[in-house]
Amino acid sequence: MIKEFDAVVIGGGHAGIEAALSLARTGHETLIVTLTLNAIGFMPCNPNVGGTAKGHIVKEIDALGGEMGRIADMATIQTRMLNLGNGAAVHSLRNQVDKDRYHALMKEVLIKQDKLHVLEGEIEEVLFDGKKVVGVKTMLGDIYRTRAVVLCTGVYLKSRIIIGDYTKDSGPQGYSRAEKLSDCLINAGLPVRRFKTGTPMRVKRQTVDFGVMVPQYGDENIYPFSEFTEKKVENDAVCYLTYTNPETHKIILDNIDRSPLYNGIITSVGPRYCPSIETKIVRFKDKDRHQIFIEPEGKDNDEMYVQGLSTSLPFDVQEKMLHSIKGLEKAEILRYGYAIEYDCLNCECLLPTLAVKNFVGLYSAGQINGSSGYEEAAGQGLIAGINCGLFLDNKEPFVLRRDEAYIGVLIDDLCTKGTEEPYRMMTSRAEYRLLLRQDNADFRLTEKGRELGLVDDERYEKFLAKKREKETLDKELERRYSPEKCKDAFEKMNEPLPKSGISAREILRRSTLNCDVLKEIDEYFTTVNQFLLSQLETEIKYEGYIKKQEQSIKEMRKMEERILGENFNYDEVDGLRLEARQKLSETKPLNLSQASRISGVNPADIVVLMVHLQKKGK
Amino acid sequence: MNNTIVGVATCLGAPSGINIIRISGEDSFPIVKSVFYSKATATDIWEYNKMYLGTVTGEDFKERAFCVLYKAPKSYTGEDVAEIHCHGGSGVTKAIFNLLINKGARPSEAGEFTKRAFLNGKLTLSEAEGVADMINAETAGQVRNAYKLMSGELTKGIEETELALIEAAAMLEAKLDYPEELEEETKPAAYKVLVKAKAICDELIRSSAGTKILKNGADIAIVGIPNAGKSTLLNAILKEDRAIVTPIAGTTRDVIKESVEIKGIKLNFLDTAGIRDSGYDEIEKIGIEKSRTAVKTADVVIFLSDATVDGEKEKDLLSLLDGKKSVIAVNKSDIGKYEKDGIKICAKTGENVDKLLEKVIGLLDNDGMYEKGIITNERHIAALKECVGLINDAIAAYEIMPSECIAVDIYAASSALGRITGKSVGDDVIDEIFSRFCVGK
Repeated sequence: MIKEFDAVVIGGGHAGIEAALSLARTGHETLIVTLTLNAIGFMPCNPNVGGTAKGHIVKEIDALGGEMGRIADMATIQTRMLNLGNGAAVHSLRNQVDKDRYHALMKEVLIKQDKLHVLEGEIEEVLFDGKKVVGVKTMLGDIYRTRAVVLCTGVYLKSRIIIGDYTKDSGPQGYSRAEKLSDCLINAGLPVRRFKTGTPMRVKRQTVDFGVMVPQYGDENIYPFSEFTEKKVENDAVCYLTYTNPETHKIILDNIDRSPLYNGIITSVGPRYCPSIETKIVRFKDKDRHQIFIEPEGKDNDEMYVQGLSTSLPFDVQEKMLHSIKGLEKAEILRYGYAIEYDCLNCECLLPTLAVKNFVGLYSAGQINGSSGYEEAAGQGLIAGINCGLFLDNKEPFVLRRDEAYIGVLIDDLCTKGTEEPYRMMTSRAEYRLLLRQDNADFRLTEKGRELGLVDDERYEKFLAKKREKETLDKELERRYSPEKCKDAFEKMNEPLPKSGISAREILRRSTLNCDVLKEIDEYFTTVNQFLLSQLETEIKYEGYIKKQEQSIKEMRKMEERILGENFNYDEVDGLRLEARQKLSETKPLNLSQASRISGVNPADIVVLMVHLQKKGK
Repeated sequence: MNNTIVGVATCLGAPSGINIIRISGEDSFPIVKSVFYSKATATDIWEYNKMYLGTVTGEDFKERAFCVLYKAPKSYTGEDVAEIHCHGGSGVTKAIFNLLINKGARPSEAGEFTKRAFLNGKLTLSEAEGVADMINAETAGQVRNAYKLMSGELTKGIEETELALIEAAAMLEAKLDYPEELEEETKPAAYKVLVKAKAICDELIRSSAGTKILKNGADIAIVGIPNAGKSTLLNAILKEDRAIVTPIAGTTRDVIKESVEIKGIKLNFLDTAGIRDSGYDEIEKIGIEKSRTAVKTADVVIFLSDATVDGEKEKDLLSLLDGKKSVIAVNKSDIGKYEKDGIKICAKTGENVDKLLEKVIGLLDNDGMYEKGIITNERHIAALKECVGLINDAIAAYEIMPSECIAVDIYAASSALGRITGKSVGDDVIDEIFSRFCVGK
């Protein structure tokens, strides 16, 4: 066995996978250690990839050369584009995924990856020389020397499962937990805290009465996550919608004193984004029903996920409430719902590179950073892996700005603002949402992925061709039409006729018109790439709004260039208020832009910093 | 957010012969050129870094001034910068300042010129050192103090607007982020909240009309034909031992002459005298011109009628009062033969001057400024106007644009308010989503 690696990734979940692959693909001998090979790319909760904002992240991972989107496409059994009622910026792809297939495919990718070494085992210690990472030690006492470690431990650090008054020291779904690593991290001085999340019960397909529920089918039009995906994505699976009722709510309220959330067994912080059913009932007493979606865990899998019934109530209450729901009266539980508590880091200890502050060679990604969700984890894993690689190669770090990617927003939020609960991505967190669309993720990020060495020639050529095609199409939008030519199409839409003719671009700019009207007027546009045409339409329609945000984007970009960095001494700065001085010293912002987003740092403090930087520069 | 900013580069409070109004940003040249006329050299053939003499023309004033353009990046901020050098005196300067805002610039935030200069790499060492103190004194302190100084009624109004905007945003966002889980349609309800926000904001702006008066005092013009006794009246007012008398700083134009504080309100008397030594024809011409300017900028006009002169001779001047709050005082009624309407006073003896001033203050009081509280800060008014403008944009586009676009305007409106309160709203919206809606898996 090799005992020395460039980098070691601890954990084979969604963060660990992207971290390990990006390291290996950029030429680093990498070891990935996972508690069990059976849980590589494991999805312990919902059987979906994507969703609002999360779908965007998957697209971004794909554009940067990550793996999640490609494998998700291959494992998809139903696909839906959410939010089609609103504009393109909030369209979000959400796929039902076959969990077993996803795991199996991911495991294969890892094992076959050149320069990547996969090992089942538990890392008990990260070895340091002072603040510098020098190796890791397994439960067998085996030592691997390395200059860099990426922590991707998910919810496995000292995790505890809770169902009613039953608790067990365990990882999710019977997988063992990591016993020793969090002590090692605490001893090294890292801020470790405890978060909580949960999952609903799984029931047997054959015992559910789907006839009384509302079926939910996939979309007619299918858009894959990955630009790689050429094979048709599967889309035959059906989900079903049913509802809780006053009886369900009564059962829960009658037993609320037996809920670990309310009787004091669980004290850690859970996410508002994934509330348990008991939380929903208690907090929203007036609501007489809640939606329950029944979703298959896989194509040939008889386990059905009961979305909406996440709970840690005792087993008998779980049974009773389940059986009170229409169509689930006879449902047989295969696995009970549970809450899980786990150790994680206070993410304010992180730099935007996902390096741990004050350490050399220590990176961290995924749920250990206080996020929730497969996609959030994968996005961080990719960035941590990339930066770990750049560190090993002595290169400048890679940070995505808030106007460049949801991944940028995610990481900036975590390490600049911190979080008091498991952090879920939402489109409303992205102030430049109109720019960060899922349809343009490749335009935003492929070139960056290429520079990082993560986008191969074939893929890059494909992207360049698409880009050229778009530029050509953009020029064609200058075609002009006389009023007579537009007459029929415009009248159908009750649209006033332009007196002196109109260009294709102007037609698309009108909020009441669209591509279809244009195609009616000019057949040429029926022959072009329809995806690009509608993308151009989106960009033209958004133009006015994007312009409104331009100044703040410009300013942010300029501030981004003013570097502060980890070693900046805030005590040297005259005129900084005490609070700002403390906050800045703790957060150690990379640049002025990040500094300006720290709570407790006001615009005046920023100007004081500017002045100081200027003086120093002279 | 508006990209082109305007600020007074010299100190408005201190006496100075000249004030410099600086405007920076992409639109600064077109904005300045739209108000500045130079007879000698048309603005479109101006050279950069060269000073031109001309006239700034507003709706109700004309002012001789110098103008100079600095082309980016060779300017203080590194952007296109224009400077207007005008006569000292806060009245003139403010009029030009407000004109530029009406033309599309926005008042600069404290330290904003410096910030831009810094970001564009233009700040010199000495400037850097110089601004450090300024910033400590001005930025944060100014924002917060100015906010604190506002009356409870006003902060309440601003907070209500802020909350309404957060509420509207949360309603739209909940549906955008939870399209499946959230069953109800939130867009119509959010619209109502926006309309409410607009109403509150409009009311705040309306009340800001009295602003200037509380902060800088009320401008009272005394007009009348030559020799009607304007200066005598002014002296009578000033001679009265009833108030602190302070000369207004930085006036070189003889427009604002003296101010007096009466009943807690500062009254600035715009004297249109001082023209008596010129030839008579000339006097009349200049006199009317000067009076016209004074009347237009004044909050209240005292028309001093001369009982010894035929009313026909005062007709032209009297017509200036149309649409203005005014009081007519009839001077020399003890010796004059013409019977006229108005408060009969004797400027010489000071008889009935009390009554006259009471009437003047009464007119100001009608604004109800004491009950409501008034926004006293130009930046606050500009921020509120921007806020309401953006809410209007959101309302106008509400039916035709998708929610994520409407949200852009709502957030921009809140961040305009944030320039008054110093707060930003990002996380408040998310908190509001989860406290209001049962969403999440």
